Amino acid sequence: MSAEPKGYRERSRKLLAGENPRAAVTKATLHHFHTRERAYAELPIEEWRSYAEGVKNHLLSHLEHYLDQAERSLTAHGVQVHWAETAQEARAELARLVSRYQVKRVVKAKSMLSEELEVNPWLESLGVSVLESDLGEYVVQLAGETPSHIVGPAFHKTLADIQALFAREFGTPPQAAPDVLAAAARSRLRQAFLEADMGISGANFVVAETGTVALIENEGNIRITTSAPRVHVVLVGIEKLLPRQRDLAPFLTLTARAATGQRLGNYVSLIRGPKGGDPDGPEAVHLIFVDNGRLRLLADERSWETLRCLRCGACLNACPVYRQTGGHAYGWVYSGPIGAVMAPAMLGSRAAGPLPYASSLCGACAEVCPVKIPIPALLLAGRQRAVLEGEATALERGVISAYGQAMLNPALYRAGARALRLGRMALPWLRAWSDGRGGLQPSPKSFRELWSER
Amino acid sequence: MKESFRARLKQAAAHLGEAPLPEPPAPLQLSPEEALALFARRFAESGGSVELAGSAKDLRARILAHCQGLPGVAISPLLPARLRPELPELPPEQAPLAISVAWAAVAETGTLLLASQEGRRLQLLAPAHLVLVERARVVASLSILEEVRSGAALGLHSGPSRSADIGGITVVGVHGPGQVTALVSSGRRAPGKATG
Ligand code: SF4
Repeated sequence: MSAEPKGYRERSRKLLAGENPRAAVTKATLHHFHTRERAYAELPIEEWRSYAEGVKNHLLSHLEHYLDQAERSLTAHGVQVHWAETAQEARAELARLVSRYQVKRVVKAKSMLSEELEVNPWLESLGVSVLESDLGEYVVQLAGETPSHIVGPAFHKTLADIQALFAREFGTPPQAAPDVLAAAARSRLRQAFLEADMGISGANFVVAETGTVALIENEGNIRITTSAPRVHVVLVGIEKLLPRQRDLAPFLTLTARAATGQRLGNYVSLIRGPKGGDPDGPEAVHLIFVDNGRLRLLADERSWETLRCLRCGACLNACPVYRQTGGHAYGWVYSGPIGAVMAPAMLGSRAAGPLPYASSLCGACAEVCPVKIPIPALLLAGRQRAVLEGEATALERGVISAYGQAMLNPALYRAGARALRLGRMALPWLRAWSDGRGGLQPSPKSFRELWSER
Repeated sequence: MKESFRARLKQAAAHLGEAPLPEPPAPLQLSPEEALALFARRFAESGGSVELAGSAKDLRARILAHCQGLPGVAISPLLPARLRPELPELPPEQAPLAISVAWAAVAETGTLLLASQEGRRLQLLAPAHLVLVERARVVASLSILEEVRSGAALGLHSGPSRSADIGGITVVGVHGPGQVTALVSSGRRAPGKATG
């Protein structure tokens, strides 16, 4: 996977200098933040979040059992199941399917996993044409960019950006209204749906008990992608299972509420297999279970909790840091708080670079997460790991070791605290700490002084 | 599962303790009247329209009213003959209107449940979608999904096709129908049978 989190600082600086992405991202994320708040308020949300956390913890601690069960139930209704340990293996499996079904044209429904596996350039290299069918993803594909948000791939684009892009690509009027732009995309995509040989989608859930693949959306492009072409391929991470059919309803609505503040997406597809005796639908359904670093996360004593993630994007919408830059600053497919905690364990501290530091540790992400992933604690663990693996800056390392020494030595601690009150930011190691953080506001008197004045 | 994969999985999960499997939150319970009222409200809130037929005759009249002036329609094989409009049948990608029969409807989310046995293109490709649902099949909770054990695919439709991907402004009819109407039958006679 091409991941370049290392350039985070430079990219952020560039993104912050331009007005458009920042304004567009702030508007979109705040909107979704508020709709989610309203949707959560309708439920005894703490009970729901604890249930969802519990189900996913149970699933992860019995993953082998549930993967075996899912494989059996999927196979029982004619879904062909494949396993890919790496992105290369997943791409090789796709190549086999492309040649087996003589596929020339692929239409895709938005899938973060397919971004992670870099499916589009791979298929193009095989001479297959690929069209993204989600409107936001289509915009991003036309612009030659990558998605900047798990749920809203084009959150960083303003109406004016898209008007200019469509004027160039389709000759629509420069001031065209959104429905005119959508109609231009629709007519091109409709044709693509009807001509495509293969539809590729991700999955929100796969129910182990019944082998049901569940997908949530609003546009209907996922429904068409999984219905019209003669072959449907599902790419799914091994952590996306649900144990029982009765877990489906609460997880569907919790995901929709967290992601967009809806009670459910306007469309949900529950897919069990090829068309059988139905008038239409795919003749073959293949499902590829993908690891690609997930077992590394599972093995990690802290980061395994990130595998509960529903990819709802609520933590991105709640994050004051993400809101400023959008997702492109992070330099890999998973951005925002969840990206910053998955990066060190999936990519290693060296590749994850400064991502664990791209947070003020305000805790907003953990408060909104529907599966209670303790993101701030995991960010700290990521920073600690960077220090242990020698990837923190020399000064930052100095701060942490000086802090450790001071905390163990009362005289040093008092001297340091005094210097802080008098000299404020005069101490060089404090500058390293305050770079990219708000300045420290020391109390005019120490706790010891206040205590002795009592 | 590949054996190499199984071995790595066992090793990766070894540090995790036993975690119990909790039960889902209690499903919403409503009387049939409450369920119908809530379904109508929620379906309308997400951009759909709802019509209630007073009698079997009224049901037919309402279907015909939707077909008024159209050159043809796409029709579900599940629609009983007595309710079929006398119009040419068109394939869904050419029809201005498609008529479906729902397996059930859910009040809490304002959702129509559509089985693939009537054809999925029918449910997706026409610009307007009229969906018949039997009154007795309007249930309170989405927990009805637990009963779905057969069929190749089930579509849950809770409003028109919509997107806010262009500058955060909502547009409808992006890929699927821009107009969707739930027509609830009086419930004395089933409009047709479908299984999930
Ligand atoms: S970490 Fe939680 S809030 Fe963030 S995307 Fe995953 S599930 Fe949603």
